[in-house]
Amino acid sequence: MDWSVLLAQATINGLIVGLLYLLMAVGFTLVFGVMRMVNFAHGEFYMLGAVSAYFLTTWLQLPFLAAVAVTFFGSVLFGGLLEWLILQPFRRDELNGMIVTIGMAMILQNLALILCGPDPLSMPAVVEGTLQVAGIFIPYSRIYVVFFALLVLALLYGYLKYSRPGRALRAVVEDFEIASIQGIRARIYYPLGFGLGVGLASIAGALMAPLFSVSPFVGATPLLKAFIVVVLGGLGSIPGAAFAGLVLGLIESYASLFFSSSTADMMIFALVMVMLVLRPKGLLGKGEV
Amino acid sequence: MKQELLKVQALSRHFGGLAALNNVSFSVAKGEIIGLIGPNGAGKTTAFNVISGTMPPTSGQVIFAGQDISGRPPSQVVVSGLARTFQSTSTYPQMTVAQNVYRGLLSRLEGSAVARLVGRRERLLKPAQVSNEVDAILEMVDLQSWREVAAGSLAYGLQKKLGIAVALATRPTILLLDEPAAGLNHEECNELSKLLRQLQEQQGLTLLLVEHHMALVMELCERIVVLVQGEKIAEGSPGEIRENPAVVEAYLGAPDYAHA
Amino acid sequence: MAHFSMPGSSLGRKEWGLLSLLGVLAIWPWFMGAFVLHLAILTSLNVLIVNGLSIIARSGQLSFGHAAFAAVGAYVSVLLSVEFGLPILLTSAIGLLMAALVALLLGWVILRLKGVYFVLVTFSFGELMRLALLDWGELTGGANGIANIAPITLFDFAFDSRSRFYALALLVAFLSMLLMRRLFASHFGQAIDAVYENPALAESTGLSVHRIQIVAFVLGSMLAALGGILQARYIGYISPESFNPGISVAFITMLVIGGQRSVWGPLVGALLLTPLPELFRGAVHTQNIFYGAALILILRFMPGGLASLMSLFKRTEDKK
Repeated sequence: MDWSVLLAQATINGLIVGLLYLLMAVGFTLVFGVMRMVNFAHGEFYMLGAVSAYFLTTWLQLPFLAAVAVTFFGSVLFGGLLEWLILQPFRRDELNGMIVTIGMAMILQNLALILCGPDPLSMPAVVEGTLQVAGIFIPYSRIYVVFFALLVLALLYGYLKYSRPGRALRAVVEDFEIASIQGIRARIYYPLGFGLGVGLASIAGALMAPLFSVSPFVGATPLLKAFIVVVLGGLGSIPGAAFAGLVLGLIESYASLFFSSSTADMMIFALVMVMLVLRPKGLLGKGEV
Repeated sequence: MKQELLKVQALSRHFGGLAALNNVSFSVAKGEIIGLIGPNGAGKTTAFNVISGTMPPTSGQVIFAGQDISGRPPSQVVVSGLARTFQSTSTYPQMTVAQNVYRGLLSRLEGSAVARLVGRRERLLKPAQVSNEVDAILEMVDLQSWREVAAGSLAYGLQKKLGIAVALATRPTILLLDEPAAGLNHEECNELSKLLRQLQEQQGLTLLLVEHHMALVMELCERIVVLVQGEKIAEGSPGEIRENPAVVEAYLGAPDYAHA
Repeated sequence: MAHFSMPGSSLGRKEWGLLSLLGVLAIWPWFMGAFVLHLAILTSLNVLIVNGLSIIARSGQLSFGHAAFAAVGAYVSVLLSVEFGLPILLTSAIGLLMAALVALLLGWVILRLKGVYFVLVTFSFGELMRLALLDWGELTGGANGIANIAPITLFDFAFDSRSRFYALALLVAFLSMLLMRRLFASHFGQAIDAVYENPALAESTGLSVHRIQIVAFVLGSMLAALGGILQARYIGYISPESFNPGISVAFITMLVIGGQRSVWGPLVGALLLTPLPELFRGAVHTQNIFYGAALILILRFMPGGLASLMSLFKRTEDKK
């Protein structure tokens, strides 16, 4: 057993999964940061992204990247619309707003079940073949996905750092009170924050669709992972969520070398509970508790 | 020499790098009416919150009736006999005036789980006496005629009185009042002054007021403690405080001072 | 000396009418055959469990891990009778005690958390419980669960038919509603409501918010545990998926739609939402969409739940 190869493989796998978690978590934190609401429907937007990518590539024969882009913008718009139509009355009422997102999740998942049925659909691979480097195997399709995930992240980073709305969003996430004092208008930033947040979930779903299967049930696990990452990384910190996403991917990958997957999961949830009690701000978060 | 009831000793409270309270000491004797004043941001409300147990001190002690109560939660401090009112009217708006007072005395009920949860052994109330006790408390603040009215529909001044009644329902030995005159008009203020004086004389209550309304403070309080930026800068009788140059300077230009 | 009236302690004429109607409704399943009895049993168990959730909610915290306590009750009592052959009353008592202990320890630590954080922690706890039950397979049977659970036998009387079990379930559900009524008309219940309505004020008058919430959490979790114990002996099978976080969400849905702050809420919620899945058999997805929409609409337009409609009736009656 060549441990260095196993570790290297685990590292690569962990980083790939970690990127997925990162996208989910950053989107989730964005929604929480702007609206102080836990979005129980976040996983269903991941699922919508996967389903949308599937249908756009197989029925409309769009190239994969175009499908991803359409999915993203569609989700941002859809999310913004949902926020404006349904979540608006709950902007100051986070607890009930959270339950409303549960209702939204139920509706979205079951609409998908009616449209697609429960059976998993598999998308044709975007790219075939496997890269082999020093005994480590990386399918090209994963490299492809990693590349585009990184591209999305770079664009997101640029947007949040350099554009006016992006900077305002960050300000709202990082310090709600100061942002509202500076007159950042809720009317735009709530739908924008929600739309962008769930858009990121959709992109994660779309990018991962060729790698994993597509079905109305794929949203549950990403939602749990988003919870975990966001608690560990800080419920109000975008960099914290990003960092914790990668870390979680790596931890899971390494832990699977030594423990059964449910033991590893248990340990992680226990850690989540401990973090919530001892350090609700997470490892890096600055959000108010 | 009057018996010392409450003693605040070297009390400090920091928020991150900010010292909201820094090494504040003063004491309150039994039966006194003490005023705690200072410009905005002086730390009066923080002092209040620390003394009443809403937040723990960073250092220093709060000693009440000989016991160190520093850092104890409010529900336990109340058992010892220290009660407080809130600045924004704090009532149960959908409950009647009587029901509000009832909830105030709940933790005193003899043999009840609620009393046992906070370890109360004194000033217990027998359940059969609840109705009488509610009436007695309402009489103290002259709210009997509003007994069955929903608290939320009372006029502001009456709501504040109800807040005092709820605190009195715990039968405290000392009552801390957080800006009781805020939002009251001239007539209501006079009524408040009379009420507080009555509570001191007829119920033997000791009172500690945080207040901005200078006229009330000067008229009512026997001693005044002045806080500025978290530190005590003066303590003395109203006359002494009025002439204290440091106090005058701290308040110079502050519109409240014109009332004194 | 005026008699002191506790808020909400008197039964109006409307409520007596409703009770008699419910009495008829309760008896009806015995004449309707196995399927209706099955629904009635499930509804009764849900009434019990959601009543427990309601106690916790009324103290100001929403628990997304309620099903985990049903799991504790079920697994502890079933394992004790399977491994040691202990009688049902004893295993149930121990199951309840274990649930109370877990709730006490957990509650002591987590009840200080505010709203959203409490939700996340209880949700995580529910997931943790499910994973633990999956993982400790030698003890719990893992994903396969435990099957062939013997029905309840008390003094040589076996509750082994639906007809008989319904009697037990109905009794327990009824007692739980009685408990809710007595509790919230009592001094302690008043304290629970006070803690919810104005925690700062309650705390400042000697009502320890933290400790009262803990008691509520323990009581509520014990009711869930009892529900789990009974469910195990009715269905005859338990597995980690019987008590997963999705089930906790279902309880929350029943509570919210029925009414979080009314004694009738859990009953209304359970009555409405338990039989529906069975009735919507072919169109379970449509039914779930309906649930999701109902949840959103209720929260938006009737936050007090369907049970709050009852106070409308009462008010119009008073005006006459």
